[in-house]
Order: sequence, then C-alpha cells, then structure tokens
Amino acid sequence: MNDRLMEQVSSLVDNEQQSASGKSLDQVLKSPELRETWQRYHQMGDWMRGAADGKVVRVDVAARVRTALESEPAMLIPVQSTSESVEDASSSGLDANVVPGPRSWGQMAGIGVAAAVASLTVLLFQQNNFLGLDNPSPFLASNDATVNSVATADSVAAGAVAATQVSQTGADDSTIQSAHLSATFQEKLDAYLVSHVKQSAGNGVQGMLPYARVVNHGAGSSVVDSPIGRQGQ
Amino acid sequence: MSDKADIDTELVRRVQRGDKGAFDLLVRKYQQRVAKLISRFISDAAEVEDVTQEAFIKAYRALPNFRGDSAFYTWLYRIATNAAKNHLVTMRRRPPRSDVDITSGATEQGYELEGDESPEGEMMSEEIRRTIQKTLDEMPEELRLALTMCEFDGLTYEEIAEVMECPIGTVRSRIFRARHLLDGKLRPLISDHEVEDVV
Repeated sequence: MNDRLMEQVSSLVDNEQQSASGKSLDQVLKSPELRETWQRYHQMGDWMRGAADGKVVRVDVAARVRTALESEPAMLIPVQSTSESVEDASSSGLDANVVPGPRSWGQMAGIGVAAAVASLTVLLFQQNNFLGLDNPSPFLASNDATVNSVATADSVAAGAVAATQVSQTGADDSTIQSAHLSATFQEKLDAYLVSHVKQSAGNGVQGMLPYARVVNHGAGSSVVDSPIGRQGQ
Repeated sequence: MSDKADIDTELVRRVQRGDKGAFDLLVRKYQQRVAKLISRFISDAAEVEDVTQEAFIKAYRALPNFRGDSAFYTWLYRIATNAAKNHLVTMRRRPPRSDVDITSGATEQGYELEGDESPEGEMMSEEIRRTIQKTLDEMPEELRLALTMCEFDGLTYEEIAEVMECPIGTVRSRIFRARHLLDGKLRPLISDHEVEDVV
C-alpha cells in the first residue's frame, strides 16, 4: 500500500485533513485496504488510551453490521439544519421504522396553522352572530330587516301587555314582532330570566344569554328588558 | 484543540445521502469504544458483541433524525447505553443504578461493574499493552513524542508542531511513521489470535 495514502488515512484519523470532504475520504471509502488501516489506527489509539480491555479487545462487529444493513434501504434525505433530539431518538426506543422526515414536520406545522386560522374564523363568525353585530338577535329576527332599536315597556303590577317597538329602515319589507303574553306568564318568564342571568354569571357560563333579553328590575318594580349589547345603557 | 467531530459530521452527511460505506467507517471507528461502554452494563462477552451490533443498527436507522447539534459519538453513546439497559430489562436483569460516563466508561460512583473477562481475552489485551509499551519505548523519541502528544494529550498537529518546533508536515509524517511501526508489531499479534479462534 502506498505510504502516502496511509499517511492521509493517519491524518484523517486525527481529523487533520485540510478538507474532510476531500479526496482522502473518498479514497478510504473506496479501498477495502484503507478501510482496514482506518480501523487499525483507531483501534490502536483506543488500546493506547486503555479504551479496550480483554472483554472487548476482539470485538469486531463491522462485518456483522454491514451484513445486517444490506437489506436496509439507503437513506436519501436532505441534510437537516434544525436541532436534533437525541433524547427522542434514544429514550423512545429508537423505533426507526417510524422516522418522521424533515418535510413531514413542516407539513404538520402548516396544517396546524391552517386549522388554527379556520377555527378562529368560525369562532369569530359565531360570536358576531351571537352579539348581533351584523344581524339581529334570533329572538327578534325578521327576514332581512335591520333592527335599529328595540324598546319594550311593561308594567308587571298593572299586568299590562308587553309591547315591542321595532323601527325599521325599509318600509315594505319591515316586520314587527310583538308578543302578547298574559301577565302571569310574563311574570314567570321574567323571574326565570332573572334567575338564569344570576346563575350563569355566577358560574361563568354564557348559556342562553345570546338568545335572551337581559332583564332587570328597575325602579318602581318595573321590568326593563333590552337586547344584548345595550346592557350598559 | 481541533474540532474532532468534523470527520464524523462529514461521514454522517454521507450516510444520510445514501452512502452506507460511510457508516461502515463510523462503525470501525467506534466499535471498540461502544463495546467497552456496553461491557460496563453487560458482563458476558458474547452479549456485549450482540448489543454492540444492535446499537449500531439502531443508530443507522435513527440517523435521519440526527441533525448534528451534539457530537455524533455523544448521540451514539446514548443509543448504546439505552441498548444495554434495554437488553438487561429484556433479560430480566436489573440495570446499574448509576449512569456511565460516556467519555471514560466509568460509572458515576467510580466503581467498575462486574467483569467477566475470559482468560484468553485478558491474556491478549495484556500482550497488546506490553507490545504497545515496548514499541513506544523502542521507537525514535520524536516519533514517540508526536504520537503520544496526539493520542494521549489530544493536541492538534499545529500545537504539536509548535511544541516540537517543526513544520506541520513533519508532525504529520512522524505520527504516521509511529503508527506504522506500532501497526507492524500489533498486526501479527491480532492475526495469530484470529487464527487461534478459527482453529
């Protein structure tokens, strides 16, 4: 064997080649004899440093590993640049039959972002509907009419019939919903709504709030209800 | 000190590109050290060899996940440690409670785990030790110094050249010649034992 090549192997063993990806490494990879030299030089260093004792001094699994890997597919993956997780590989038992490639992580991240955006859009859409920003509350809804204001006045003591005034922008397609409920039923309904609002506030649950009028007992025990969004007024 | 991981990084890169031969070089380089590490957990020599092989195969399969944040040998040693522990669990033996230092193979508590060195293996390793020592003693001083500074002290060629006040090319040549001398003495020794094993 050419001494010059052997010297290059010696330099490679010490990682002292000008370029590790240069010709020397290619030559070692091609030549079985240089491979043997590479192994012996490393072995020599291990023995000198006492890294091998009687139990392992004859261990040579290279041929066995080569044979075992003959049936394995060769890797053809791009060089990865992100951080690796040794712990994952080692502690998870290294089931390399299930090895996610670098692209699958990117795809998974993309799918995750898309799902998050979609969910957010749906939630915002629903919330807008609930708050009646674009459409009136379902309770007051009437075709495509725009509700500008709703005012309901009622007197529980007098047992008067509730009246609802809905002013509309359109003249022809306007619809006015008004409920004529008996005084007894109105009392029960008001009591239920007040109780529900109290409980839902205590539990932090929105419950049927978007669908219901907010009811409170004002001065003179008159019940005033108002649509959602007007509670502070 | 030079970054000794460079050649490993290049070899790993080549393996990831589909060059199995590059992995063979990694196996040849680390097999003794990995076997030594595993022998701290497992006493039987045949089992040590089996688990060493298993560790390298697992490492090969897991290489797509290796991205080079840690040195290859650190990663490999962890795989080997887990392979040894898993083997003990499979064999229903209790793994040692202390961890093993990956650089020296020593346990945290500083004691050697039980050994099961065969008389032949012990005799051979003793013979190798003696041959190395004798050859080092007999070789020219400049060769011995260059090799020992490289192997024992981990100095780079540049640092050795500075200490020995000579060009790097001379250091390169001296280290190679020292290795060549040692190789000449050790090869027959190993070959003899291999022949004995076959017979």
